[in-house]
Formats: sequence, C-alpha cells, structure tokens
Amino acid sequence: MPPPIRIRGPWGSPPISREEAERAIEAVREILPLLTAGPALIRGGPDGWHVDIPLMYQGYALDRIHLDTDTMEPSPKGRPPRSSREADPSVVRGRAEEIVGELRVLDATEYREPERCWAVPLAWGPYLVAHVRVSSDGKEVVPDYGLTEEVRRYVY
Amino acid sequence: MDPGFLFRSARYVNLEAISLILSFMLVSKLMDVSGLFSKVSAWILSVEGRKRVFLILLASELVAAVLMNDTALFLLVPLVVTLHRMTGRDPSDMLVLVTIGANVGSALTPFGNPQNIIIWSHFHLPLGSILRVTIPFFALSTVLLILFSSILPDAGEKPTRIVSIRLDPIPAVSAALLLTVNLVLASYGHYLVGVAVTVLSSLLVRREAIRGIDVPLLAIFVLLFMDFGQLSHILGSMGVVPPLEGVTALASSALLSQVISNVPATITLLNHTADWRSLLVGVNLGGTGLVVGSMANFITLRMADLKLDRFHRISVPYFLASMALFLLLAWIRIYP
Repeated sequence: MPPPIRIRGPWGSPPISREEAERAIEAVREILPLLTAGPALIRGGPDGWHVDIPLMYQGYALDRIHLDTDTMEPSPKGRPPRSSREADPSVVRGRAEEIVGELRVLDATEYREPERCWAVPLAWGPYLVAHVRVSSDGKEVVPDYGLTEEVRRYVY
Repeated sequence: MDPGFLFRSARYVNLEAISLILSFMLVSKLMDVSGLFSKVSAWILSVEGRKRVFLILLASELVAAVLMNDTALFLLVPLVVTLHRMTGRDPSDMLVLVTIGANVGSALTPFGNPQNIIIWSHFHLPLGSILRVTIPFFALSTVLLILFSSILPDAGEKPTRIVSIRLDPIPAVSAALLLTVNLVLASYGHYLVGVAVTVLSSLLVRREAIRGIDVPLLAIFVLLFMDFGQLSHILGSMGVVPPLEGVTALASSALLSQVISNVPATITLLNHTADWRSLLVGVNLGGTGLVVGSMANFITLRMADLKLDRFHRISVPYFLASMALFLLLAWIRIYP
C-alpha cells in the first residue's frame, strides 16, 4: 500500500512573491544580532556523543546547530557528528555563544509549503548550519516549538 | 523497609490539585504557542526609558498571573537579556527583579502557581475568597517591587523594533476559553472533567501543547505530595507541629519555604492549619529570598547563567522587607 498524498488545507497555499522572500531574508538579518545560544543538548549513545546548540530568539528555539566536540566547530546540517568524549557543558556554552556570533545569513531562501513559511539558511564558514523559518509574508519568525520544549526541560 | 509505605503515601496525593496543575499547564502551553506574548514583547521594547523598566516588571507579574510563573520566566528572561545586550548593560539586577515579579504576579490568581492551586483545591475555596487575599498581597508586593526597581538605570534611550514570532490567534482564543471553562468546572468540583476537556481541545487545536506537557514535572508534584504528605503526617503524630494560625502560620510557612521550597512547604503545613489565608501569603512570600524558595528561581539562574550572589543581593533584602511588612500587618490583625 503506497503512502497517501498529503492533502492541502482547505484554504490552499498562499501566493508567494520575490518581495516576500527578500523581506524574509531581511527579517532574519534583523534578528541575527539578537540570536543567542541555548543550553547545549548533550546526549550519549552507542555511536558516541551528540551535542546540539539550540538557536534561541525571544525565548523560543528556532533550530539546532550540530557541534563537533572533537574540533569544537559546527558540523553541516544533515551530518550530526559523533564525538568520542563527553563534552563539558560550561566549555560548550562559551564556544556556542562565539559560534552564534559568527553566523551569517545567506542571500537566498527556500519555501516550505506544508509549513507555509520561508526557511532562510544560516551559514558558519563554508557550512550551512541552520535555518530560520519566517512566515510567508516575510514579517514574523516561526519557532520550532518541539525544540523549545526540549530546551526548557534542559533548563529545569 | 516498610512495604506498606508506598500505598500509604499514595493516599496523600491530591488528585484534584494534580489535575488542575495539568489543565493550567496545557492552557499556558496553548497561550505560549500562539505567539501572543511576542507581540507584547515587541510593544514593550518599542517604549523608551524608565517606562520600559516598569512595563517589563508589570509584564512579568501579569504574564505569571495568567501563564504560571515558570512560563513567564521562560518568556521574559530572554527578553531582558536581549534588551541589555542591545544597550550593552549588565542584566543581572533586572533579571532578579523580573524573577521576583513573576513570583509575586503568580500569587494573584488561584492558578498562577502550584502552591495556590494546592491551597485552592485543598480548602475548596470560592474564587472570590481567594482573590480577596491575593489582590492586596499582589498590590503591596508590587509597590515594594517598584521601590526596589529604583536601583535600576533607565532601560535605554532608543526604542527598538523587534521582529515578532508568528501570531496564531486560534490557540490564544482557545486558551482564554479553556481558562474560563476550567475555573467554572473547578468551582463546582469537576476537576477531572476540566482536564478531559482541556486535553481533547488541545489535541484539536495544537498538538504541540500536548507534547509540551512536562511529564517529569508532574511526576515530581506527585512525589512531593507523597513525601511531604507523609512527613506532615509523621510530624503531626509526633506532636512536633502545633496547629498554626495568624502570625505563626504566616512566619512558619514563609521560613519553611526558604528551607525546602514553597510547594513542599505548602504540602507539609496544609494539614496543620485552618488559616489558609496566612498559609497562602506565607508560601508566596517564601518564593522570593533564597533561591531555593521557588523552583522558578532556578529558571533565571540557569537560563541567564546568573551568579547566586548576584541573585541574593537583591532577592534577600526584598524578602526581608516584604516579610517585615506582612508580619506587621498580620500582627496588628489588618491582613490577611
């Protein structure tokens, strides 16, 4: 039995324009200096240690950046690193703030129809490390609520 | 090892309070995912100077009164950090005052924090009775908080435009409706119906709210009831704790909160007093002061990496001042 095709919502997808895409990129440029690193999410598994840095804005998590704790550098999106040794949260926190300060916004965006938003890429060095989702009109940021909850539990 | 311990302890779990905490947790999550608060933050940051400081403190109080103190801090601590980053100032003092504001504000409503929910459900109090005690507490504590805020410099000269989080009005409206429904159902004692309605509605409106239920935190509340309910029973049977009322109830609940935190203090003293007014004021007073007074205090410490001595430098004098004020009022029998 093949999987069913996702049915579009009753209102369909809103029309998009080049101006809205540019506005979305501009919105991410505006929030870039206000982004902070949340508490490092550190997990141990049979294949090694995974460390993710949540990218926070106004108390909401937007995306996670994979951190390779062997080199203390971010890993490109889609390639979570497995480190051989456990990370020290205080060292990771300091480095995470530096990495967030070194992020830059790329000049293009993709549109995600099911979520009705733009996904503006953020880069660190040669790597694309995260996306910031922006509403289809390019004016408001769309957080990752699941990740936000994960981060808040780490705080407790 | 006593094999009957677990079964006896289970009797101390107040299911009404646990269901109310779950319902209000969900309502708070729905409001959180609506993005409504982000619009409020954007407006606050567009205001200039001293007015902005007052607005942030007032927001910490009012958001906590509606969304519970922990959610308020999750939203406000990053706002304060962001604001101070833009102006290049140290956010520590403001963060402590915001934390006190969240604790004070959460005392305003019967659902603003767990200790209020526990006292509300244990004594089966009508909404009006509880508000007659919490409103003066809130008002006097706010005046004190504003006096303490005079140590802060202006928030900054330049109004700031902030890109806000996407607003979704459906969860916001649903949260407001569910809040009303839960208040009505709770006042008639239908706590479990309230939970069922809230869970089902949240499933329909936004599943993220259900996924946001902090199950370990709920389990902690169940264990707190078991542990401190048992402790309360043992203390009662040994005759260590005499029946408390008036000044002694207020002072002992505030001071015990400073040692074991205010939710355990509430559970421990619940069966040793009929004076719920003094208990309510005492445990809410005890949420400030030492960091252990309230679990919410740890959120600020961990989110902002705030040092303990910086926290206590403001929080302890605030606690001592408010303690002196409310003990005086209780001693001359004006309040509560």
